Amino acid sequence: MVTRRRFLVFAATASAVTASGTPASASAQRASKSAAPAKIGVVHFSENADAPVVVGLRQGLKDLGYVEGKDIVLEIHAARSDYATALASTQQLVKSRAQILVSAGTLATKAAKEGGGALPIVFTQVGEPIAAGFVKSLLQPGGNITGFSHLLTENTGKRLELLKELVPACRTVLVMFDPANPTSQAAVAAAHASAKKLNVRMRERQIRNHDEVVKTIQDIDRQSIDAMLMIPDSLVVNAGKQIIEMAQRQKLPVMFHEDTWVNRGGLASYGPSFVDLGRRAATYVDRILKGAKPGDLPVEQPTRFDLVINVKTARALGLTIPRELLLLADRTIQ
Amino acid sequence: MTLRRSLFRKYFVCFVALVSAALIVSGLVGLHFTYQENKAALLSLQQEKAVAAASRIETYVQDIERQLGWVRLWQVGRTTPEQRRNEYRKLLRLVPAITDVVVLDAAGREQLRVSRLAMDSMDGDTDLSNDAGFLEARSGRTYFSPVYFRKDTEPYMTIAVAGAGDSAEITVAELNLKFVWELISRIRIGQQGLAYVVDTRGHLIAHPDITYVLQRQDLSALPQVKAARAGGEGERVTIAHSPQGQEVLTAHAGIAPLGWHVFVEQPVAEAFAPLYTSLERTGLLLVAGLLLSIGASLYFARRMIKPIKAIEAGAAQFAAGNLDERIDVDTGDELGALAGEFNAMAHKLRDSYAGLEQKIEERTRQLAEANRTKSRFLAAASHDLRQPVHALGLFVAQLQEARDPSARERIIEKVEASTTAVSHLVEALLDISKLDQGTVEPQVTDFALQPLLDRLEQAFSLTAQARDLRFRLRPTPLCVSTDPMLLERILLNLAANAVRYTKEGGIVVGVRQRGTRARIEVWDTGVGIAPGEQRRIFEEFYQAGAAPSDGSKGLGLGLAIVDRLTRLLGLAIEVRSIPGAGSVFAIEVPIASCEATPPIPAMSPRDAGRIDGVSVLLIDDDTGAREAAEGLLAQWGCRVMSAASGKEAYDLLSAGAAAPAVIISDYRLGGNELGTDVVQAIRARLGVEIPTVIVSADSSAASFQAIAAARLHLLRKPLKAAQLRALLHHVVVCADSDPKTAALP
Repeated sequence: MVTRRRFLVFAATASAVTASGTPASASAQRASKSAAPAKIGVVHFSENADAPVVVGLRQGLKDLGYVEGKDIVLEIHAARSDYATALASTQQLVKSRAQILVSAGTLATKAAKEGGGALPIVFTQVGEPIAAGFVKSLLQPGGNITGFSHLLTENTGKRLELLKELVPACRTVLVMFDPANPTSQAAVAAAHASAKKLNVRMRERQIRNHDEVVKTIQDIDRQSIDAMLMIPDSLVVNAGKQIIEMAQRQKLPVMFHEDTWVNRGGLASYGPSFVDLGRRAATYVDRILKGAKPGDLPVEQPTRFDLVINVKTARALGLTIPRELLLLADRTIQ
Repeated sequence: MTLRRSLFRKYFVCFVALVSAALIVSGLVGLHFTYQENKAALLSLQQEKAVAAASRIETYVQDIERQLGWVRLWQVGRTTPEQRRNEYRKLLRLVPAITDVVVLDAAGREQLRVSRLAMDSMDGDTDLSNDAGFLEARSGRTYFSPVYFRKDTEPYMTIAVAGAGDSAEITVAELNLKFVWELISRIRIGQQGLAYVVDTRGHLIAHPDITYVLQRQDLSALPQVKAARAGGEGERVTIAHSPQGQEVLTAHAGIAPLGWHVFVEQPVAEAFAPLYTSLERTGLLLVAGLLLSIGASLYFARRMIKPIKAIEAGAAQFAAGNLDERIDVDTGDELGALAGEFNAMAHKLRDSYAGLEQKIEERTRQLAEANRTKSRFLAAASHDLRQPVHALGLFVAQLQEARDPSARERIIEKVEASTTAVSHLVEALLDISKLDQGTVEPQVTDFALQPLLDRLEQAFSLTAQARDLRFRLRPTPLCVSTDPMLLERILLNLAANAVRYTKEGGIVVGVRQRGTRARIEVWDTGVGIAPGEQRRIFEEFYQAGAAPSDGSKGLGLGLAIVDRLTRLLGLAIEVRSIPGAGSVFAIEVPIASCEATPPIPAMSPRDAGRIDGVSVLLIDDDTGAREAAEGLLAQWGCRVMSAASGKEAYDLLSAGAAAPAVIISDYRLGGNELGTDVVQAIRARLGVEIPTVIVSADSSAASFQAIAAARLHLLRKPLKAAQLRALLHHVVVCADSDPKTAALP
């Protein structure tokens, strides 16, 4: 047994030395030989466990050769739009000896940073990591944190442009956001700039908590607005389900930033795939497991932006999607 | 033992050296080629990987360039800005790496902008005529900008392509290079190898570890990057240090349109691992081969040494005298043959030892026999001598007593007979002694037989007549080649024997020719010899059972002398006899031609010519002998001068005496003076070679040779009167005749 243990120590050292050049499968094997699987903690704000980040992370780790349950264990915490829950989840993960925290969204990341202590953090779906105070720079994040931003603030105008194309008759567009969220404020500012160019009026609704979101949705005056643009604000996004229900009820076209909502009945979305972000997070998890310092890993930007259109919803809304736009869509839901 | 060890070591060292040298040389040559080939294969493999990576990136970029070109083609006939915008949006969808496209008119004014992140614009009027991309593309070439980073972390490159024909539009696209990164990350070189890309400035723009790229590493100082940027035809695969300082086998290939270089590298340890494995294997094989060769050498050296050792041991045994030992080497090769030769040699040695021992025994027996014979001979001789001497003593006593002259006369006759008997016996003994000493040298000449036979008849006819026996001679014309004196002596003995042992009948001597030989036969009708005695009669003092018929007592030496003479002359003697009927003795002599055969000087008393009046100088220190000889010579009418020594002789001659015609001198004079010396001195003094007869009782070879050397005649004591007279006559008459040194009495 002593010999075997020594061998394992040796193998681990050797693998660590070979660092980045070693293929994932080799490291997976090493991980499998280690006594206990590495525990990865995941914190997101969704209500369901199958959040896009989890799906992507699983895929990414599998692609890198990790076998779940053998090499790694995922401990997933859905905070259900509640910061306190998210904070409790992170503390729980520290207790249960998770080796890395993967967070999805600005609030979850904030919770992870506050409650995770020295645990390495890989964040995803964060719009403005510098503005949020997570990292010092994208190139050298520093500390124990790195991750993937979504650029959704920057392409807010693009989404508005696409919304105008989908609903050419729209004149007034509703946006909801949490004024306390800097990312949301930046997004709204970007939307305002674009709206001028597109000759569209903006109808802003500030919300501060989930109840306000729900109330705002319920109080929507369909006559005064033609469409709605989703701001990737955690509070708003967490009411996505209610928004879709409202939209169907009110026959209101809503432009999302992420295709999960389109799958559930949203009209369209344009933005980076959160599943893809989760997949990329897996590569950083892999490298951190192999000994890389999170602070040395640059914060990456998404490269793919998918246009997803739910044709069924469009039909229900009585909209005719221009043929050119359908051809440009990366995915359509019939 | 040193032999074994040194030979063994020699063989062993020789074998090991030979096999090892062959193995090492072949192994090293093999190693060398394996190393070179593997290295070449590795290097070319690396090079191919670099080229493949470069061509993939190049293809990728060219694809994008082509896509941009196609968009321009689609635009033909479509003029509305909305339609053109849609075409470019399709392009963005097709090529995920392009994030923004700007279309400029010929003047460099922005006409259309399509973006993934920002809003599209169709009404912009920005002037980009000073943009590097615009300027480059307008000159007809595709423009590739240096790599730049958006938001610090996103690598980008601008591509500008000029439109075709009159439109002369310039399409400027922003390309996200993360796709190149992904492409590079997927390139795997062995376990630890990787690929990376540097741009025209030598800056790292793609690496599997993005961190290095984002740190904007400047690799222009690396030798391999320098070499690549310098271009040229140098070695494109080298061993160098990687950007991270590891020793690697690195190869590069250029991406022509971009001016970038793709490097593939693999840690040297890993790249050469198969090579080292191969070298190790070859080395192990070499060591195994060497060990095997040493083992084989030990075995073969031992095997070769073993028979040699056996032969050595066998030879030692032979040397120690154990000739019955046999060397047991059954190799069937030259060593086996050598062992066989050794065995045969030992066998022959043993046989020859046995033969030698037999011969020694034989010779010892012969020597003992000869000794016994000699003793017997001496005993017989002394006995035979004692008889007549004893008789002489008695006769002398009788003579002193006898007064009657007739009685005295009879006694004197008996004294004479006894003296003759003693003289004969002594002569015969001397003859045998001389023959046995080997001092007699045969003087072989050609001569006619008849005169010799005539003398034989003269010698025996009277004796035969006296006993009523016939003595007949058959005349012969044959001449023979042998020593005439010795042949006569043989025949005299045979004839004497024949006469002595024949009671009645007669003796016949005949000669017949048998081929090239003359067979001389002496027949008698005597008592004969029993077959068992026919060999023994030639022994000394052997007398056959029958007593001599003449009543005398034979000496028993005649046939012994005949036997010695025939052997000396190389003649065969043959005896045939029937007891009671007679015997035949025959000898065969080689025939010679009768031409120019000189006559043999006669020694017969009848031929003794006149010598009266001859002056003789007689020298003898013994007074009795001198006076007896003086008396005899005076009787023959010679004038005699006598001297007792050389001095007296000189005195006589210097006193005026006339030179003598003949000198007769004793051999040994008193006081060590030799007759030969005195005669030579006289001859010298007188200046005349006076014929001389030396009389000697000395039978030594030395005296004989001295006399022969001085060319003097020799007569043996006791002198016989007739003989002396015949010789004197011969000497005086034939003064020039050669002296016969071997002359017998």
